[in-house]
Formats: sequence, C-alpha cells, structure tokens
Amino acid sequence: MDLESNMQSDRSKYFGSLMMFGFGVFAFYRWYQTQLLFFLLLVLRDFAAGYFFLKRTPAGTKSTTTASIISYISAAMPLFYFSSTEESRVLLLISNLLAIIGFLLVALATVELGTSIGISPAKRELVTSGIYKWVKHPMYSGYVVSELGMTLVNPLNLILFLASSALYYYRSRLERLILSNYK
Amino acid sequence: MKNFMKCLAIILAIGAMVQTVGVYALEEVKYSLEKDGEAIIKLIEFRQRVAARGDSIEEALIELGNDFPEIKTDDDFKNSFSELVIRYSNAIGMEKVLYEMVNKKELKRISRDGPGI
Repeated sequence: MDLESNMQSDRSKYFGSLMMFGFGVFAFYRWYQTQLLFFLLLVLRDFAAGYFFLKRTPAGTKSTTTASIISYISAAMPLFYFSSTEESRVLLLISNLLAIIGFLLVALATVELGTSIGISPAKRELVTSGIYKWVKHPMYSGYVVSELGMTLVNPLNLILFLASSALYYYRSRLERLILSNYK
Repeated sequence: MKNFMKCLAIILAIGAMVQTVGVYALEEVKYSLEKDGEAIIKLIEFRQRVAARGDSIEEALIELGNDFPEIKTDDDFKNSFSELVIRYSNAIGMEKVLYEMVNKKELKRISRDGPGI
C-alpha cells in the first residue's frame, strides 16, 4: 500500500480524535464537579491525544484487522471495571495514588509519541526519546498500574485486570514485531 | 511545546498526589472512629437531658457549646446526628446492615408515619 492510499485509509484518526476530545470534555466536567487535580491531568492527556490523533502521520505498516479489533477491545476494557466496594480508606488512598502514577506515565507517553499515536499497532515514526528511553511500553505500563489500583478496591476486577494485562502484552509484542524492521 | 506539556503533566500529577494524601490526612483527623463515637454519645446524652427537663431542643442548643458549632437548629441536630451514625456504621462495616434494617417492614412501623400510639 503506498503512502497516498494509506493517507486516504487513515480515517480512524478522526474517530480516535473525536473520542479523546469527548473524554477530555468529560474529564473537565468531573474536575469542575470535584476540583480534583487528577481530572486536570486527564484533561491534558485526552486533549493532547485528541490533537495528536488529528495530526498523526499515516502508518507505513498496519496490523491485521483481527489485531486491530483486539486492540480496540483492549483500549475499551478500562471502562468495564467495577466500582469500589472497599471500605478501607488506606486501600482507597493507594488505589488513587496508583491511578495518578499510572496516568502520569500515560500522559508522558502520549506527549512523547506525538503524531505517532495510534490504538492498533502500526509502523509510524519510531519513538525512543523521553520516557521511552526508560520504559519500553510506558502507555501500557501506565494503564496496568492504574488498573491495578482499581483491582485493589474490588476483587471482581481481578479477572478484568488479568485479561486486560494479557491484551496489553499481546499489543506490545505485536508492536515490537511491526517495529522490529524499522528503518 | 512538548516539554511544556510534560512539565505540566508532572506538576499536575504531583499536585494530585499531594491533594489526595492531604484529603486523606485531613479526614483521618476529622473523622476518627473514636471521635465520631464520642460525638454520638454526647448528642444522645444532650437529647436525654433536654427531654428529661422538658425543654425544646432549640432553646437548649447553647449547652452543646463549641463541640458542635454547626448545630444551630433542631434540623441541624438531626442532620449531624444522622451523618455521624451513618459514618460510624460505615467505619465499623455495618452500613449495609443499617440500610437493610431501615427498610425492614417491622421497623418501619416505629417511624410513627402510620396510625398508632
């Protein structure tokens, strides 16, 4: 597939951008309601991701349709986590701190990826700077850290956490495979 | 621009952590199990004293002094007492039982909504 046809077929960026801007607006509303700075971190991350999606470079090599579907399922999984049933305030505190640390990693990875951002693994510009110097998959690592926090406050989330982690692992393997012959 | 966004993300994350720990620490001091228990006992004893004398709650509220500055009317008294009981029940893990009990038919009869003594 040449670059021109790739550009024409990269319509998913509009969907990704719209979704991220939508999440950003919702996060802003949650900040307005609660005055919690965590939601401003989400606003920053979501609006940055929305902008980068819109401006992203077309992929040189894309993953298969099956891999793309799996990636979208994986990206949607955090939305299905159950709410807290935990009464221990210490566990709630740890869970909140893990969510903040996790989303800091996600935000830093989003900014570093810039226009190379995507949901399904694809070959765009290889990013090895910033947080990518220290962590190979900071975006997935960040999600795992924050989802671990959600698992601490509801044991039912353990099943989702294991499934979600397995899917992140699959996506990271696929990314490595696609990017392994990056020139 | 990217560096500015990364700095902003780090500042927001640090701020969020400080805020989270701060709220936890404040609530820990403000809402300790022991303090809530003592407050409930004080309010019950106050209510009993007032009932024994036959005074109205509003007139006797001054007796509560500085312990409950938020209580200025009978409604404030009821709100504060309910909040303390629910928070205390929650802290000792009996919140669900409390709600089940409140919804029990037999107990609803003592709410004096219906006809009776």
